[in-house]
Amino acid sequence: MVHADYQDMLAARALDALDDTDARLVDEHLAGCAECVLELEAWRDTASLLAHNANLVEPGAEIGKRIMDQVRRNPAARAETGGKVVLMPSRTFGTRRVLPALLKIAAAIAFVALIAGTFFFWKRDLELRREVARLSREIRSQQTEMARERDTIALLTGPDSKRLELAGTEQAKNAHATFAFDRSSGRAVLVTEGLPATAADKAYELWFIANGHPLPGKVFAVDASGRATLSDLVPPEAREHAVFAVTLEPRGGASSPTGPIYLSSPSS
Amino acid sequence: MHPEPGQIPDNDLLSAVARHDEAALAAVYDRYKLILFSLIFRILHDRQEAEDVLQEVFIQVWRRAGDFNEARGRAFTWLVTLARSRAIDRLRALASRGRTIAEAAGEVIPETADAVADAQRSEQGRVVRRALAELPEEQRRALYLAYFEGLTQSEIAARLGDPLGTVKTRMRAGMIKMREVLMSGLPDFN
Repeated sequence: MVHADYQDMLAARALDALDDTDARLVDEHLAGCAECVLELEAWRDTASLLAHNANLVEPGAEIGKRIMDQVRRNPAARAETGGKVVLMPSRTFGTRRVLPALLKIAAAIAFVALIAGTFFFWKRDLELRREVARLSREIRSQQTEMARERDTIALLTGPDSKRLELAGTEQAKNAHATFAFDRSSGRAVLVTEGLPATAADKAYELWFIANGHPLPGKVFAVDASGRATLSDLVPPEAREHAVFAVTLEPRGGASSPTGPIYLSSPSS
Repeated sequence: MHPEPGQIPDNDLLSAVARHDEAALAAVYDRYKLILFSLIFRILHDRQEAEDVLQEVFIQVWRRAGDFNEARGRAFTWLVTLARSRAIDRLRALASRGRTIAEAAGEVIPETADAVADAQRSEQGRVVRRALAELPEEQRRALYLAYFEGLTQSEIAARLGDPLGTVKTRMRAGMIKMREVLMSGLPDFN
């Protein structure tokens, strides 16, 4: 199997739904793949949310007290041990018998130390790999963000660029956006602020309205502050005289506007 | 589930529990008892067993809060995973003792009335239920059988009479779809 095969099984691993053989294979792969470890953690976050589908039932009022009573009875307990101390009869050893026994004990201690050391370094290696994967992801994200910002600056300052301000409509009076595009290539960027959060089944959609005909742009979501930055391509027929608008549409987008307009540029 | 504004963040509470702060444990219990008990009860269908498991879970939280590492995951995920794991273990132990889920399910427990339940449910809970409602029935069923009954893909295939490959595909597609909807519905879910 290759890396992608293991990745395909991670969602099921997060649900503990893999059969034993598959689970063993995935776990072996995880021991050496920090990327898959991170992805599995993300899938576990998703899987754990299934708990919300349970109908809400209150536990008995006394359970909390039972827990606190148990904790107070044994406050420092770190782990339960099932072992019992068994008294052994004392034995007298001669020097000849004691030395080999001591050597065996020393060898056993050395062996245990070796195993513990190996485990320690293996665990440390895994943690370092995870950290490297996390940092790599951050770097990729920041590089993408910087590239997008470079594009935005180029579009805003280029000799053939056109910049427009989109104002919020009655639907979102505090919202506004900047839309800039290159008239020759059509490359465009939209930066919004103040758009309200959408329901899970809705998303915003950009429109290029040329000669009264709306042409669909990209569908996008906003963050908690109503901000979004997206790049798009303005169709040739909308590069000279067009109105640019943003509407609220079904989550997958629409081929023609169906929802209310939230942002719009002035008529040209 | 997230703390309300002004509340102590989950991670800080678990750190305090790791230092054996009883008040912090009580706060974690108050914050999570409803969702964790509801999950355990959904798995076991038996109030007494579910309450025993809930108690075990919080004793485990008391003893193992130091194992929680916020760099590796969310507190909610850690707590829910502990609770589900304990409940599934108990479910299997009960099954091996001959007590089936169907027998246990005979017990009627009043659930919180819908209107009250909806008011108690967190915003996150409402978004998740909407996300699940958007899944095709067969994908949803595969996820529920795995999550709430602890079945493996082969066991689900046998239970539903579907080919194993179909179950695998449905399960993965269901998880992907759910994640997509959650990413658009929950601002801090990524």
